Amino acid sequence: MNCRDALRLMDSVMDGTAGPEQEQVLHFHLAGCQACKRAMQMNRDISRLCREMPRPEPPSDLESRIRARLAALPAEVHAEHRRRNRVAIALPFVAALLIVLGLTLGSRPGTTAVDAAEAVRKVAVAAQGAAKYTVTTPPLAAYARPASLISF
Amino acid sequence: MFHALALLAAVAAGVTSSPVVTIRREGSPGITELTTGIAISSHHVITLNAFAAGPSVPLVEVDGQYLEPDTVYSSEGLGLAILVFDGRPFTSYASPAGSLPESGDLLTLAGQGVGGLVSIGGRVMRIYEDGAVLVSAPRMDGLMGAGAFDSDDELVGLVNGVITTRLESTPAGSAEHLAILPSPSWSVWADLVMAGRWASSTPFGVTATACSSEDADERPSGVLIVAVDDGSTACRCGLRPGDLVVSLDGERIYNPETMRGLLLSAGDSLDAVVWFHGNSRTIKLAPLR
Amino acid sequence: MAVRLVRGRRREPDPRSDAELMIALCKGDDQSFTEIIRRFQDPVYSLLIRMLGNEDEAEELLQVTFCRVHRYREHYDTSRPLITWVLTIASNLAKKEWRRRSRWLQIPLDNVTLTSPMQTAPHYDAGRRELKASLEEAIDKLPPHYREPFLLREDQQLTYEEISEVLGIRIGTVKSRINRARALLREALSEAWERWK
Repeated sequence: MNCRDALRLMDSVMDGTAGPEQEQVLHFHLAGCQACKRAMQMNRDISRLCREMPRPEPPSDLESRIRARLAALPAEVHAEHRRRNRVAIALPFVAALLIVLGLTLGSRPGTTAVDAAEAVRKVAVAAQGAAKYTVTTPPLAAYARPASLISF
Repeated sequence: MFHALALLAAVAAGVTSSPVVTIRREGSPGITELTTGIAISSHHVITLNAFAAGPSVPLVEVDGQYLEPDTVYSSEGLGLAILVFDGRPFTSYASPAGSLPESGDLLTLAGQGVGGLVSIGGRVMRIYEDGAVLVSAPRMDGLMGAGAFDSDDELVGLVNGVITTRLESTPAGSAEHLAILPSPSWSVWADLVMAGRWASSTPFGVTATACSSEDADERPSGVLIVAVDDGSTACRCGLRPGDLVVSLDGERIYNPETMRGLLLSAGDSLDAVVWFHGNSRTIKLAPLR
Repeated sequence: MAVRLVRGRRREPDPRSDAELMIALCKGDDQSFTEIIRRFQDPVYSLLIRMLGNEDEAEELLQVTFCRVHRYREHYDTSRPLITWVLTIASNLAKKEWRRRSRWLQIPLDNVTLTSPMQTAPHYDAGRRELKASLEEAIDKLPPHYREPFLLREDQQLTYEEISEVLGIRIGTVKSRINRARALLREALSEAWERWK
């Protein structure tokens, strides 16, 4: 077992998700590897210190504040959608705009993909009365397998 | 200007920043090319190599201004480039996903189109023989080089082309998918570029290329060793010309840049599964220092 | 401003299980809400304050969290642990706050070595206190997507499955993020740990 695997296994052992055979494998590695042994000790110490860290105290009048807030809320709407897990089909942080100036290409049988892409590649944009300039974006090209040669 | 529209819509939507950035270059005179870059740190942007190479300097748009990168690192092998900037201009950035997506996963593809930001959903179909992730999504302007994000907003990869596969079952006889270069293939390289730890004092001693196979049963895809230097680390580890390195430490590799990155960032020797004329063996590769 | 609660305060701990409390709350038992607040205010506040970094915002979101627990009480699935449901609400609120303020920009992704505070605070006593203070600072410097699963594991002692549920990410992602958080902390605290040993 190498150090990369050992470091990963360390987490499982610490968090109690590793089986006894796996723990043994880790211990064999630790017996012979100073770096990983040190890492494991550090992990354990960090974990213990985390548990000993002072827990910040919430305000003592929390409950009354919460109840006051609840009382001030409008009547509940029970027609909420039930959400067990975070539904993340919506766009995460991309501005949810789809300004595509009619450039959607549906899958039309018979249209060669590359031709169609070329055909809509160039769109002339007038820039507020100034001289026209052409703005392009690279077309979707046929996938080319990388075939580089490097020496290292 | 379309950028003003995008900004207005963004402000209206309550989203003030995004890791998807616009890269702008002057092509032939009179032609401005807009492409997509994804910020992966406060001062690094990753994009397809084709968009950053060439005589024209790629400029990245931030808050209406165009910034010139300080340095551009490119990898011919991966087909990617990382633009490095002075200061920390990017307020929002994405982290590369640590693992491959699974078939059926829904991804968001976001890229720079002519009219503004383009964003669509796509479903992961399968992993291609050479490690690309195939996604079914409609073809649209702005998707070349677009970033693919998963439901955790992590960067799954970059769109680098369209693959047409033959399918007897469909009337057209073929299906088109977008190919995504997945982050596990390049995140090690990107991490090393961002940490500035790209040099090694001794070379490993190989010349290698990506070698992908159409028929996985006949021969797997992997990194083909073309030459091994005498007396080098690679030679001592047992690598020979003609060897096809298929996986390192259990992870499939398809690109020599990935192999190099893994060797550079390894703390200890890596287990390599090597294929040669129908036989496979496992050898230990010492890390690059 | 603080309204004194006139209801009698129970001295003995409420023996009901979390699920029973929620069921009672749905039926209109107000006292169960007091108990729910009492049971979960510490872990929720702890998570919020370590994710947001300041008391005011943490207190605000702490209140909002419990308001939501009350408002959406009918939506709670009694077969799941209540702690994960409550923490999910808190975590989502904190995440929205992060995004709104783009606070994560302050932590560069390529900062592989988090600076050790020891270079700037020579007046700390050597030893345990130094390490503890460094630890708090190092955790604060962790990028939020590594910090959160790490806190849920070490602070709240949640299992990987529970963390996966709270954050809405795959278990594999939970493992790799915790692994990364620990690696970053080891790097940041290496010096202080040596001194303390």
